[in-house]
Order: sequence, then C-alpha cells, then structure tokens
Amino acid sequence: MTDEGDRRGFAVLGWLVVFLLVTGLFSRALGLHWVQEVEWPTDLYALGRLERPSPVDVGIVGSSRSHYGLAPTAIDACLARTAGRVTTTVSANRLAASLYASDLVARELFSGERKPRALVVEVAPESLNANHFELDYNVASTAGPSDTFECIGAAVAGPPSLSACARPLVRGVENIAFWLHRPLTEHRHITWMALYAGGGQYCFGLPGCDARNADYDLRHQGRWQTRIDRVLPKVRTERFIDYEIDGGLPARHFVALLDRAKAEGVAVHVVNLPVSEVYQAEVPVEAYAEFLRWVPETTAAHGGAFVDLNVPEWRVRDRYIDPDHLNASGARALSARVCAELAGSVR
Amino acid sequence: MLLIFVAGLAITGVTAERERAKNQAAYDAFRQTGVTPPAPKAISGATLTVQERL
Repeated sequence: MTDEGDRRGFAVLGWLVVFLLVTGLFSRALGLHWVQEVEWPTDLYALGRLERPSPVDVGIVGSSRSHYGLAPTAIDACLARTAGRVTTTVSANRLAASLYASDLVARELFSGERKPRALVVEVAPESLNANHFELDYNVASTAGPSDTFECIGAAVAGPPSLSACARPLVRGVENIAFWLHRPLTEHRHITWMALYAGGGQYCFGLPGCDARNADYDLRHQGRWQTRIDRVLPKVRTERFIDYEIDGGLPARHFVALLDRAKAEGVAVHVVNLPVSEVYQAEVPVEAYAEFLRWVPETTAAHGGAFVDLNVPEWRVRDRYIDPDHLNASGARALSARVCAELAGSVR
Repeated sequence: MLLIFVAGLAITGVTAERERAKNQAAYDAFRQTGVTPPAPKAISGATLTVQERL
C-alpha cells in the first residue's frame, strides 16, 4: 500500500464519519431520533414535537404494560373530578423498555420546561434487571450521543454490548430511512392516539373509543393462548437470567430519574403494574423478593412514592388481553386506581 | 454524491416539518372544538416476533 493509498483510505473513512455524524445531528434536531423500525407503542415523534398551551399534568413512562394498562383519557376524566379542572395526561412508552429507556424518555419529554406535575413510572422486576433481555435494544434505539461514554463504561464490565453503545452515534441514517419509509402499518392509529388521547392503547370518553376498544380486544382474543405458548416458556430463562438489580444501567437510571424529578419538584409515583396469575407464576420467587426489597426502599430514599398493584385482586384472567397486558376493562379499572394515587399531586 | 446527501437531508427536513405542522394544526383544532377525526382502526401492527418482546 502506498502513502497515497493510505491517505485515500483515511479520507474515505473520514468522510464516512462526517456523513454519519451530520446525519445523526440533523435527525436529532428534527426529533426523528424517535422514529424506529418498530414505532409502536407510542408515536414519540408526534408527542415530542407537539406544542401544548399548558404544561402536562401527568406524564407516564414505561413499556407496553403501561401502554395497555394506563389510559390517559380515563385518568384525565377521573382527575378532572378531584382537581376541579381539565387535566392533561400523556403516556410515552417504549417497546420492551427497561428503566434505562424509561429514564431517557422522561429526561427528554418530561423534564425541564416540559416537566409535569406528576410522573408515573412503571416498574416490573424484569425492567430493573442489570442483565435485561432487551438492554442492547434499549441503548441502540433510545440513547443519545451524550450517553455513549456511560454506555461504554458499563459495557466494559457487562451488558450492554459495545456495538449497542455505538449505535446512537450512527443511528441518524436509519432514523431517516425509516422516516422516509412511512407510513408504517400502525402509524395512523398511534398518531391519532398521541394527538387526541395522550397515547396509550385504549381511550375512553371520545367518540368511537368504546367501539374501537371492543373491536381491538375482540380481534386479539387469540393473543392470550398464543403468548402462553410462545412467551411464557421463555420468561424465566430470558427475562430473569442472572437476575440482579444493584449496579446495572436500569437501576442507575431509575435513581437518576428519581433524583431529577425531586430536584425539579415533580411528584414521582412508582407503580408496580399487575400481571396475571399465570405470568406471575413464571417470575422466580427470589428475583421478585429482591425487586420488592429494593424498589420501595430506593424510591422512598430518593423522594418518590411506591405503590404495589401487582396483588392477587388485580391478577384475575378477565382483566387481561394476554398474560401480562391488561385489556380495555382492566385498563379502565387500573387507570381509576392510579388516579386515586395521583389526586394529591395534581390540583 | 454530496448533492444527493444534501438533497436527501432537505427532503427529510421538509417532510418532517410538514408532518409536525399537520399534527399541530390537528391538535389545535381539537383543543378548540373538542372534535376528533374518526379514530383509525387500532391494529397491533407488530409481527409475532415483535409481540414476543413486548
């Protein structure tokens, strides 16, 4: 290889780096970093760029469980009675979110000038596992360039992988590709929910919502058995493998979320959402005990309030669309229950 | 090459801004009137492989 050849090679690499960085920064400036290959459950692009006339009252972060289980329209209908005014609840969920991803969503959408009065944070034993089964995906899809050094530091000792840490630096290209590929199949529905119902799977009180909820649950009747056959056999080995909380990225970001909210005067409600009896039976007893020891203690130490709704009365079959996601009637009931927790924080 | 790159970014910027403005107008109209357009059918849109990750 000649010197000239070396120079050309480095020039190509240099231009490639410039191209990736410029595309990433451009994508981020437009809010397109939220646009992923799987946009469901929340159109975070639509939510993130929306300008509201007044601050959000309640923000919700979590995974598909809070997406199904907490309906912003039901919470607002309930809070309107206790607060004596119209309130705004917004739910921003991420596919298979650990507390790492939830914190990054809250940091961008529910802090600073966009801070809500109250923040509902979904927790589950698997979402705090330092070896979370989707931690690489959480990093690759949700982290920003500023999270890279922390990620690399964590990757030296364990998950996530180094390749996942690099994705946020170069993700702009894929974000833009997915943006130009729109509309994805679920796009219109989730955008409608983001604009008119504050996100979430189910809506109540708006025209057509009841029929839409019923239609969805009816068409997904087979989901219960499908997930018993396909998901439950993997829960122990996949979601609870090498279970530990302390020291992992999810736990670290859970504490960061609590501390930031406390500093900003946001009331944090940490909610252990319910799962059905058949799902709970797959959660290792030791892991669940560690979770129930660590979360309430840590939440209280950092100024939040913990509420455990994963109790037998919430685990009955007819509230669920599948073993760990509530159906419309379950969502309505759970939203009313969470509203009762929020009443003191939203006046 | 550079031209294609810049053109690609420009198309992205224009479409993103158009969608943002469309969403904002729809939201503002909803705030003023309380009326929503008909809700699109709620589909999961996710393949079974994706559903297993939820």
